[in-house]
Amino acid sequence: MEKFDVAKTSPTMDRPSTPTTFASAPVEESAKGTADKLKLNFYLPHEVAHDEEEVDMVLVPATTGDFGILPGHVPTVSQLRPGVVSVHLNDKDVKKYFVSSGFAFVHADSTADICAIEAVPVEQLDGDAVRKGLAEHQAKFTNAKDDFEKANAQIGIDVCNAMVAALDAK
Amino acid sequence: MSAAAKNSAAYWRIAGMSYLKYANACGEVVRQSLKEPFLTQAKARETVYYKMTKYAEGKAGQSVITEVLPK
Repeated sequence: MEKFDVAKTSPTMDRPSTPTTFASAPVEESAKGTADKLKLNFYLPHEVAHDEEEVDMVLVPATTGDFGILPGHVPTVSQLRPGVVSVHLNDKDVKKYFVSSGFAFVHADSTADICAIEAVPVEQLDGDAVRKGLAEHQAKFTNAKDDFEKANAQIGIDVCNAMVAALDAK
Repeated sequence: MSAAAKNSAAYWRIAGMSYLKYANACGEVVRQSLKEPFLTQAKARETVYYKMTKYAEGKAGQSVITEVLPK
């Protein structure tokens, strides 16, 4: 380019464009390494439970087994089963939610997204109602006429069992 | 659905349920097992209604709720 500046025919002539002029800045790996906090987004259709909140760890119940998300976790997408999501805000505070189902996404930049239809703090669950529901769904299961009804009852049994487990563990 | 997918699929999928149906069924069970006053709040979320507004000569008329679900 120095040679171009010397040899250019008119002083107002622009330097020619090269491919690097149009290329975006190269992605540089952060020198800091992984973040020490996890950024959590926990979204429900009717509520935002956590929005870009910095937390230590999140434990989620996936269909393939429970797993914990720490900062620097490999990116994954996993389907959740009915169960308890524990959000470790810091060393002392742990928030426990019961999620009906949904998905968890982990991004490369230490961000985790959790989406669920229903998520309620475990202490908002009524033990008696859960046990009553379990008995109802079990009765529905034995009286089911077709596969669809049977599956519906099975869902009820699974969710109630998960809620009983969540309440017992508390 | 292919045979291999059917073998590994969940029971609700085999029964012909979509994921949305499954997820909503799970959500409903959770909503029913809440303590008061959260139960009433959750029940209110469950309701969906259709509102209709008729436009005449470019102006909105009165809006009427035509249907409330579940009945």
